[in-house]
Amino acid sequence: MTVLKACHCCGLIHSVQLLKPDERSVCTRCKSVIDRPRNNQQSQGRTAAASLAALALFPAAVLLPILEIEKLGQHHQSSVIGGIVELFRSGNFLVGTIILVFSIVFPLTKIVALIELSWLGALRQQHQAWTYRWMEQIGKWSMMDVMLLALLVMMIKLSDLVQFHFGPAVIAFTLCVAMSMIAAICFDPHAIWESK
Amino acid sequence: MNSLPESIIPGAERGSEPKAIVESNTTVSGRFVTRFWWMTLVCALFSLGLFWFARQRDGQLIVVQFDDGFGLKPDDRLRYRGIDVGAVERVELSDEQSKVLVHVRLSPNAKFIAAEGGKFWIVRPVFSLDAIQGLDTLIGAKYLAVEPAPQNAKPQSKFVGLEKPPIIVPSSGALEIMLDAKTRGGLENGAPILFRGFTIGKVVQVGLASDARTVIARCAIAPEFRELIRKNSKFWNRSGWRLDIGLSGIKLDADTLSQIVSGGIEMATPADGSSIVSTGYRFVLHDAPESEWLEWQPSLPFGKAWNQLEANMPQPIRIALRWQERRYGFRNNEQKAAWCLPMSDGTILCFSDQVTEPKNALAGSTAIELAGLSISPDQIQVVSVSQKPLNDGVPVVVRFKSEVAFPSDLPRWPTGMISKTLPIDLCDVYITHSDVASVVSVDSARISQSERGWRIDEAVALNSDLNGSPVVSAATGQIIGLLEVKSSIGTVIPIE
Repeated sequence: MTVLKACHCCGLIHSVQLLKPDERSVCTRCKSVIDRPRNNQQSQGRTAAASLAALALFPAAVLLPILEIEKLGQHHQSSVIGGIVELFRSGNFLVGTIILVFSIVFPLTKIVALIELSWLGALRQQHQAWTYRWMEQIGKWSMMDVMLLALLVMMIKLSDLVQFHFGPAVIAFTLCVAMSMIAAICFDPHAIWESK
Repeated sequence: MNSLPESIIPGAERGSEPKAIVESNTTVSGRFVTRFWWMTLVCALFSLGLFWFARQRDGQLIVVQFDDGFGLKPDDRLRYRGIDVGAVERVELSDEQSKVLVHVRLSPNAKFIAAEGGKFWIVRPVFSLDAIQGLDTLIGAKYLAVEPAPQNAKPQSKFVGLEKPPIIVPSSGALEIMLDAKTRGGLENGAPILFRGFTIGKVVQVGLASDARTVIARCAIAPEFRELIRKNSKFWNRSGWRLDIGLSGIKLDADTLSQIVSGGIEMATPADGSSIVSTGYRFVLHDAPESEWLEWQPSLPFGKAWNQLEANMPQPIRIALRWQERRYGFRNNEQKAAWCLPMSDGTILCFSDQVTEPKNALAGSTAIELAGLSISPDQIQVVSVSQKPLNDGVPVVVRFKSEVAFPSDLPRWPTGMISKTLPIDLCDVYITHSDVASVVSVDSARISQSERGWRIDEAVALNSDLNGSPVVSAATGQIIGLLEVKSSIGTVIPIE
């Protein structure tokens, strides 16, 4: 039995035969891999591993102090959550909401969605497809990596004025960003349709 | 209409697609099987580790209750002896809204602070002419200061903070006396107690007597001045300034600026000072001094070292060596004088060059003069000589006996109070001669070891007249050697 499949790289359509476990099909034109037998399972595994790792790091990243600032003897340390709470307290609801949504809600949703998707068969295909589309949309707005960049910029810009120390959460934050990126890269959307 | 694939891919026939190349592929198979899982494990452990670490870093939480928060904020520090031992976590009002509750997270190594008896207060800038304190809180943050309880106190996590820093705890050995006054008269805690305008103590606490009849000022006199307070001493209040307007003009009477602000207590002791008081003795605090008190000029020995010397000071006497020598054909009288110390066993301690006949002296012309006697060198007998060779011109310490008896009223120094060698470590010394007032005190920092003994720094101006003076160790009170002064450089020469 053969199926038609487009090459990911050059788009040439091939007819791909059912592969034995130790075979893979390669594009005739650009030599990139078109299909692997049960590749969905490996990508699933990787996605699940990376997204669970990201989930494990997420609480540490948002709850532990991320920045310690010392200015004229005034010591201040805050976590991501603490910073958002402070923004809300001081009445900056707009900024607070934006940060809350883009650095906590969306990244967390993305991680949870990836875990859900990697658990193929746990949900109906239609539901998975819907989750995937949503994840794609949300993923664009998940700004954890941007925030990391912002921290870096702040450190460079303000290091003359105040004393800066990164808290333990920074490492967790960086790793969390890296893990969720790895999970997203590893996920193969074709797997949704091939599992059945 | 059923040929949809053709319309999607124009110019392509269904089934004419190239067949993909099939290569061999080796992967681990199985659901969720991937080497990535170790990464998950590492990340999860790392995350847990961070939380555990953060918990470890957080010390105990204690609550301190204040009447006024003075603007204390979260993240303000708790300091003990000037370093951070914790931070304010949050500040809130108590349930009945009458108190401020400050939650403080202690540093993990500052557990000892959470013990019964700890005193907390908020440090804020204080400006008075007597004391400008807490200036670091003017620009920077206010902070909480703590005076922890003594060791082994029971653990406690709730405290009541002090409104002001705790009262000055008098240093150990201080004399604490009570002064009864009719009115407070501007007396403040920390006001100085002055003797001839010199601060000898402080008012520790001012309060009403239990029967409200008088104001009681608790005062601490520094340990080195406690001998100045005698039972017949008089105290009077010198608070602020006095303005006298009379026919002759206006007379403003004030002392130092800090006294104007915080007041002060002046004291005087009569010349025939009676016995020394002990802690708890009560005096009356007068409003003004009687003119007689201002005239009192007692000569009171005070201070530990002073007392020790007073009781135990060597009293050396002068010794002179007189001889005649021939110079340019004339007979010249020569003399060399120094201090020597009569000992309790009847010997005299002095330098060897004071008792040996000079080389070029005319025979029979040499005489040793001391205590009103003139002794010929033949009449003396050197008892002990320093083990070092008696080189010419390099004097060593000798003890000699004389056939002629010395007067019995000569002050004598006990032989037991002599250290034959210099102490191993340098120590503070006193160079003593005629009286207590002329004692030269030399700090150990100004002494260095030298070949012959202890060399005294040139910064201590020593008169050549001090040659032969006994040198007393401040630590033991023993005589450790005699002082030799040569071209204004002093050396302590050991006795043996």
